[in-house]
Amino acid sequence: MIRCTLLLLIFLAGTALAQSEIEEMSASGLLTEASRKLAAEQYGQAIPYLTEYVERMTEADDARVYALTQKVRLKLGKLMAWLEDPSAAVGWLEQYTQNLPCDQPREAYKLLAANLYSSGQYEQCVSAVTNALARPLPRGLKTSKKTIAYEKMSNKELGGHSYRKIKRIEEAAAEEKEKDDLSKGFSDDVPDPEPDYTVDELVLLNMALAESYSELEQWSLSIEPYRFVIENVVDEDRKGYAIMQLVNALVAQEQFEEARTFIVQLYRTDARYNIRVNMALIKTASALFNVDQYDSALMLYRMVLPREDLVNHQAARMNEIRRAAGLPVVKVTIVVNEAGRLETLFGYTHGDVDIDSGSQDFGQELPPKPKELIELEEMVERLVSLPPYENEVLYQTGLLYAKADRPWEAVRAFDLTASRDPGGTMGQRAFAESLLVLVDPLQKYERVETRGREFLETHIEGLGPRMVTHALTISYQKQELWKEVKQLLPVIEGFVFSDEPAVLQYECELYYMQAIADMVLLNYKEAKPGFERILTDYPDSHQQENASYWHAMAQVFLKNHQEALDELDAYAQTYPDGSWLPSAAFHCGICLFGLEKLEDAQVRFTHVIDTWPGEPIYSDACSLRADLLAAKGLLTDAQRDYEEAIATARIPRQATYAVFQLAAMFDLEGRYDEIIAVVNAYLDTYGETGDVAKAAYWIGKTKLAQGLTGEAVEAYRVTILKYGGNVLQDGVDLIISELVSVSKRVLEDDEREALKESLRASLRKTDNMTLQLRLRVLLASMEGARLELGKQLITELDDLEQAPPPVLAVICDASFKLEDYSRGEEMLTLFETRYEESTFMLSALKLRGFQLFDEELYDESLKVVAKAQALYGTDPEAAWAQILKGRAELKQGRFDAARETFQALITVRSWRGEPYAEATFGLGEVEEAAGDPRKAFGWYQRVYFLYKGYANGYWAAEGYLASARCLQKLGLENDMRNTFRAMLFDKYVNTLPQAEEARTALGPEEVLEISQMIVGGIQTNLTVRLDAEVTE
Amino acid sequence: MNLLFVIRYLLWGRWGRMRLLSGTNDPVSICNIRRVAAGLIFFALTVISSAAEEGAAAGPAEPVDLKPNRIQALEQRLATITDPVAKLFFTAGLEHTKGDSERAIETLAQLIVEHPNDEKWIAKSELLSAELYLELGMLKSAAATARQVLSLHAGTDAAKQAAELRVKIEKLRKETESKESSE
Repeated sequence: MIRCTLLLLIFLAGTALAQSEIEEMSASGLLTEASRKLAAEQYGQAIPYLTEYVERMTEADDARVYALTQKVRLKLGKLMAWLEDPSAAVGWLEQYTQNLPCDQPREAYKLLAANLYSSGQYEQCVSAVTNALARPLPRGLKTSKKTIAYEKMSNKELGGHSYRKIKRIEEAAAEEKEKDDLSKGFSDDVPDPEPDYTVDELVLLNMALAESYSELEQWSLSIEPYRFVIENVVDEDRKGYAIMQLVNALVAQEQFEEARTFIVQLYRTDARYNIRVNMALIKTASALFNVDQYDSALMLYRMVLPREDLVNHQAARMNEIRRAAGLPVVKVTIVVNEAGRLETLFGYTHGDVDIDSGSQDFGQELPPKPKELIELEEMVERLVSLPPYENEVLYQTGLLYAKADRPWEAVRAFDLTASRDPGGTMGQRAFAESLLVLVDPLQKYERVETRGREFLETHIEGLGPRMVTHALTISYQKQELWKEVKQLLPVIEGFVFSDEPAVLQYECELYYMQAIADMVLLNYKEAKPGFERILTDYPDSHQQENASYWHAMAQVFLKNHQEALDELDAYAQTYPDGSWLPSAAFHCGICLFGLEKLEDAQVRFTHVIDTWPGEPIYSDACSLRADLLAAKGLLTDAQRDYEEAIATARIPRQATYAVFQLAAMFDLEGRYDEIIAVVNAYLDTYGETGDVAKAAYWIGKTKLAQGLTGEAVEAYRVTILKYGGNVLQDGVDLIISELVSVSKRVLEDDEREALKESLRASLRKTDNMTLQLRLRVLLASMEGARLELGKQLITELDDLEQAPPPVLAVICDASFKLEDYSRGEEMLTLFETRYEESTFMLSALKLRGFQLFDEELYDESLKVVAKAQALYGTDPEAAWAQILKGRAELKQGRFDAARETFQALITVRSWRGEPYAEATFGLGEVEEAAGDPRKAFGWYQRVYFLYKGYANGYWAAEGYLASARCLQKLGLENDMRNTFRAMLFDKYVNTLPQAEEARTALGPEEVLEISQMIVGGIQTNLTVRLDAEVTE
Repeated sequence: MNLLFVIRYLLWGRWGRMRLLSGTNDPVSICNIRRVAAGLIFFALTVISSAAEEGAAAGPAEPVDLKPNRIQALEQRLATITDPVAKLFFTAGLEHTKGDSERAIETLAQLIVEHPNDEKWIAKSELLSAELYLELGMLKSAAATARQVLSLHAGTDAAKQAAELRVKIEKLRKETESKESSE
């Protein structure tokens, strides 16, 4: 380049001066002068003479002049190529190849190809090389054919021949010539063909061809010429470069196996020291990495040399050239400039003395630099001016090791990258990647925790902290430490705001993971705003679809069925190809079920079944449609759906649900053999991954129905001991309830005692807290000591995580008895989120219902009542719900409603007993509150007449007192006193605390008298009668 | 229906994309057998390499009960080594002999990453890395590393041993799979 510039300057300077002189010169003078300049190696100065000659001879029509002009054109082409002016060279060479005579076409096409490539004219280059490789022959001038009018020639001119004879001779000669020479129309004067190309020239031509195809991205065409170069080139650098380029072409053609063969070949050469190869390696390695060709990519990345090594290698090579050229050796110094880029200082050294390279005088005395040296210096300059690439290569190597299952190597590569660039994006990215590998697959959670937290203490800005927090989140997710995931929320919220897209994307992901953690922790209330945050603060983010779906799902779990339904339908509309579509459709069915639109729900489940038979949700849809069909009494259809659900279950849970629903259905019809068959088939398929406890429950229940009590009890006992340690085995809880019932109803005393003793022994042996708690509840239930156990557990258990439903129920019952409602909400939430299907939830509903009543939140309390009644109906244990309902309505002043509620209770046979007493008393309260003490009296009196045996006389005592109060309101003082007297005579109530009120009202003397009468065995018949009697 | 299970199932299905377990957990029992085998191979290679380093003849691997002597010998040898790459290799050997295979593989990883073009130590370091992965029960990593030793160092002794190791790994993998399927 320097040479070219200098010569051109000389040329331009001389041009103006010599132009007038040149114009005055003859054609032969021009050639003579040009020859003189060329002989003196003043190539630039020869050009104007030669150019002038060609211009002047363009119009000439002499064959000799043509030939000479062509020679000058070729010479000019060569000169321009030598002067590194490829465009000008191309111009002259094209003129040469397009005109005649063309004596040296091979030489011309070779030069043309090289210069077309240099000037970036790749298509034309391909054409030139193709022409060259066709081995063209020299072409002479066309022979001009002159028609002679023989008939007009004189005899002298005809030489004594007739003109016809002469014409015949001429025609015969033409025929003969045609046979000899098929070059048709070319001069007879064909020069000898040029010698064939040398191997070096062929290498040059093939390289130009291959590179042109490569530039034109015609990879398949480039392969063959590259192969030729690789096979024939001598220079190792050029061979390495050709291999590199061939690998690129093969990778582009996705011929990875073949590429790998050449990479291995490349790996064994020193090609890496070639700067061009070194740079190309990174690009190719990256391409191979992206198509999962890790082994090949690793080889290439390893070949990439650090810049300093490469520069040092090239410096040594440059010095070899310098020594050979008689130049002083150079010491290359690399410095970092203000912009962070590297610069080289080519300081000359001579012995120990540094020589100033900028000294012009000295420079002029030096011999000229060889071309190879100049090129090398230019390459080194280019290399050092590039941004640093070593860290990028190291980082990519880390990614490669991670992908290729070499985690420890990956960690080391990332850590090294991070240590070299701790504050930079690359370094922080590498740090986070290292943490991710330590999480998976290395599972070095503690190290991740320590390093991650330490990093976050000092970094709150940019992408790095977000990436590290992401790695920590993944770590916690892998360990299922969802609470720890949530503890990262304040960290994330503390990051300095940035609107960089990458930062926003990570932040969005982190908030999404927070909301997901809430979902897994069953904190649906918190999860909902979490997903809203994604949808609002990060619109059109990568998590938009997921957040939309999970927001709807949070609504499902919060039982906001209408909102959930709307959102799920909106999701389906917005994402017609969404990944959650089948699940969304299924949950629409769930919502409709929750909204009691059972027909619509069935339609949705049918839609899921018909549309997505291959989806995991299919089995669930079959099960739920079966539930709906069973509810309609279509048991055959229901059975078909349950069986389909079982057959298509993807996970044990799906089969579990269908199997036990089917078993329950068979149970209703007494189809015990079928229960045994379906449960045994389930156990055969799923073994211990299934719900063995629930299976045992059903088998035991069936055996009981078949009268095989001993076998059933033993099966229950064994199952409790085997699976009772797992808090989620809710089948064990069913067994506990059933065993308590069986032991009371069926077992003989000695059998019951033996069972209890066996259970006590097991309790002593186990150190599993969950099993201990279950056994304690079972024993307490069998011994009628649930309340005592509950009181004990209230103080004993701080953490309820390991407490199974029966234990929670015992605690609820004891709290209720103690009128301590403070844990009502906590207990019900625990059931609703963890054990929604548990039959023991009734106790929690009761505690919560009374808590709300106590807090005068009557509407809320009535909601709990509604839920309890929806789940448990007229179960004997659910009578409290009806009572609570009446009391809440009474508190709200809705007397008619309250009256109706209490009256409804005393028509339900399963609620006979204490609930009747309490409801009757409640009816009295309603009338009293409504301002009718007479009617009220009637209900109160009825309580102590009919129900004094219940609740140890509690309601009877209350009835006496309330009756007395009504009589007082009616001004019937004597009747009131009679009522108190009757109370003290009544042995069911006279020892109760309420009797004190009667004693106080009557006074000590009358009380003493009554006591003496009782001791004396006197019976009374004190009855107060009023006009207005109540009717049921 | 227990919605807790539904959500867990669905969530984990989603998170399959997010760097979940790569199936490298192998039974501990197999791991222990390999630990002894890999230890002996490691020591043999260390001795051979060390001997080559110092121009001495290599002897057979010492019996297991000579471990304290081995540690002492390695420590002494390590103190004399000046080549930083060789030092890393022998440090890994020492760590492994002391029973800290994980530490050893970390040290080897340092060598492999920082000196990938060291002709003398890289192939044998990568081979040992494959052995240690195997010892740690990381079959996939052991297989990947052995495969890359074959690719990167074709024609070397290390490649030959890597080929044998791959056969062993494949056999173990099949045994593990059949054991898992029978369970």
